[in-house]
Amino acid sequence: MNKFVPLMRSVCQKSLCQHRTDVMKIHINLQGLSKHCNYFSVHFFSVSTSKSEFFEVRKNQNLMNFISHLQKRNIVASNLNGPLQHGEYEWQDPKSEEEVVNVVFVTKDGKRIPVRGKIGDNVLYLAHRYGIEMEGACEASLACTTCHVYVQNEYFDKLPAAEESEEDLLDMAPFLKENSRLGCQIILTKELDGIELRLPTATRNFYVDGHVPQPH
Amino acid sequence: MVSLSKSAFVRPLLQNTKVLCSLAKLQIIHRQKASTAVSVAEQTIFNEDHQNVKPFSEMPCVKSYPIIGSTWVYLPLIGKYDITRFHVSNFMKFQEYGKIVRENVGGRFTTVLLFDPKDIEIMFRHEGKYPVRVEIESLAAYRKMREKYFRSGGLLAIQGKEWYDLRTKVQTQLLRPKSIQSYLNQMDQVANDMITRMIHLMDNTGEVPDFLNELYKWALESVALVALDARLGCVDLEQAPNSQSQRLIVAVNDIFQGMNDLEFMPLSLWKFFPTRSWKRFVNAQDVFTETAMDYLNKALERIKVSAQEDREMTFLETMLSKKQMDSRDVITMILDMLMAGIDTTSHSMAFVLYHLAKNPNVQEQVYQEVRSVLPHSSKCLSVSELNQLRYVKACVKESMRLNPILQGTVRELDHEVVLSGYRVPPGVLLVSQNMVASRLEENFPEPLKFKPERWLKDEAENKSHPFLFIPFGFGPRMCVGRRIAEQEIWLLAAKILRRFRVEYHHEDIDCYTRLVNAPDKPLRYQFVERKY
Repeated sequence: MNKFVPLMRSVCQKSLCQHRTDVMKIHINLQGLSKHCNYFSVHFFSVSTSKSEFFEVRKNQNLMNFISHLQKRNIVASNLNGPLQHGEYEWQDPKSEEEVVNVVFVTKDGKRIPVRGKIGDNVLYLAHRYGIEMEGACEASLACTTCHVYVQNEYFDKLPAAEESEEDLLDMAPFLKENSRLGCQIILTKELDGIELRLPTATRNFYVDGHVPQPH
Repeated sequence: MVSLSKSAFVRPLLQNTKVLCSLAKLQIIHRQKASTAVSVAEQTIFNEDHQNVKPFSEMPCVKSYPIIGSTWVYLPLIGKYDITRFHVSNFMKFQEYGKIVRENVGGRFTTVLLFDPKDIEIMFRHEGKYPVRVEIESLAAYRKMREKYFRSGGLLAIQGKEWYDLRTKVQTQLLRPKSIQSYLNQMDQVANDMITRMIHLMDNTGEVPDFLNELYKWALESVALVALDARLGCVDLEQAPNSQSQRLIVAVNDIFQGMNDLEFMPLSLWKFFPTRSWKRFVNAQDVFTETAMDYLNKALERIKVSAQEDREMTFLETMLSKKQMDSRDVITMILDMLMAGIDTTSHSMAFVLYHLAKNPNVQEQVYQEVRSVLPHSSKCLSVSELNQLRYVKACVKESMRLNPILQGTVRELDHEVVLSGYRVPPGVLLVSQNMVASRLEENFPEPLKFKPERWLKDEAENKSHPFLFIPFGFGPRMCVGRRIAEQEIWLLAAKILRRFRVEYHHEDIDCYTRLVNAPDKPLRYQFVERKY
């Protein structure tokens, strides 16, 4: 849910700036998100009418359904023009079974989390959508190693070889192994259906998990 | 260009820490510890190593006195270190004190120089979500004064959440290799025009007069493609002597010199009254800001017309269409790109050509590689052809190992760490000494030899420690202009070496510190045109 809000804000804003130039401000009210209620509300403040329109969104409501609801009411543009923001694509559900690419994330304590991804999804953003602890501090700009993963078994060979910029960074990842890759550089294809991605014990700091440092 | 000021003031050590891509702030940011896990883990370290960890006060220290700190060691006659050549002074400190040295700079900051790649690695592992760099206070002070243009000090000068919010708006467009590839053809054209201009300017020995200034023009022309969506005409054949672009270049040079002078005076008198160097700096900044704004306004006019076209948005258009981005943030970002994209890239380019000129065998291999990829010298390189230039890229890396634009990177941590067995308190400025460390036999065999083979994955014999070679920094605060700079350098290096044999028959070139490392002699390269 925490990821939902900023994402929705960016989708709304992007479509608004092309469609409703009179809407100046979007306010997302989270007060309804308490123990007893499970909704939050989105307010659009319009300059021309100086009124605000507001919508309630249920906690479990699909983002795309909500957007299409807004589109039907002509609140946001009916076709979201322009490229999607980074990470938005991964929030769309697969449109058909052919598109589905199953992914299993294995957390550092060994828990297996199966996820239904789709062709074209970036593993980093897919992990974000499903609350898997893959950080991605540099947002796939190839500056850090916080989305380091191990690609299990034969799937490692199915991936296109890492480019030099990724290789250089991998050298700097803690707990580097033969099957290490950066999650942000893995784009799902149908061939990768069933891929298993294991998270390393730490991606940033050696000492987080009680690792005993070597004396210098 | 600008000569080194022989100011009687002394500019202590921090110099080596500045990055264009890295000017940042010294003030202590009160952040929460990254996570409880980290602090628990730290305790574990201390429990484990408790017996061996020595207190900070026992760390070898450059002798210093109250108020002036270690300033005296840089004074002419009595001091032994040369303030204008930090790579030399820091190497001397390494020899004298060992792989970790404490220094009280100008009585103001406590710094720790890190020569051991293991310590450099620990520094980066502990930088947290919002890495803190040292700030160039003069830049921040200037920008505060000119609120009309600047809402903040820009990526170079701000910290914490504020820094992150700005960084996150630009990094995906600038740092992903693929996003800058869309400028490949235009940059290639700039490189071709640069070569045409070089041929036009060459004297009968094949030298290009004031070649460094020509490189500045090329770098400005290239970065403007991304920053302003425009060709400025800096590498055109006919140019007015006092053109707008030349004014911008001179201003950037003066700004760098000014920041260098202002930042390292022990007492920072400029903070209390406008000193002469401060006035000169403000003047250069004003010229730069006004000229750059003029360019930016023209770019905005053009975009109003061209934005209707059905094509992918350029970097500038994307910035401007972001509703949540303040227009002054866009201005600041664009000005930062123009300021940070001139000296850095052109000095790096200068050293690549220098090392190749001094190593004809290496140059011959480069030529063979480029010729096989580019049978016709003026043809545009495609992305896949660029990827085939492995040896060229290895040469650029090797040149940056020996002559990086900065000696290293600075970080200020918000928690205690153990480095080389000493407990280092938070708030100390850690200064990685990659340049010195990369010239040590223990880290690279035959360290002073120019051997690009070190960087070819399949041929490299012994892998070096990965944290030795980080010319653009590492992590979320890595140089945001990295991809632009690399692509520019690869292209021009390939094109020049395809067309000419580069020779150099004068005194060896070293670097001196002018905020960034600059070549200390004129670039009197001879360009001999190849017949085929």
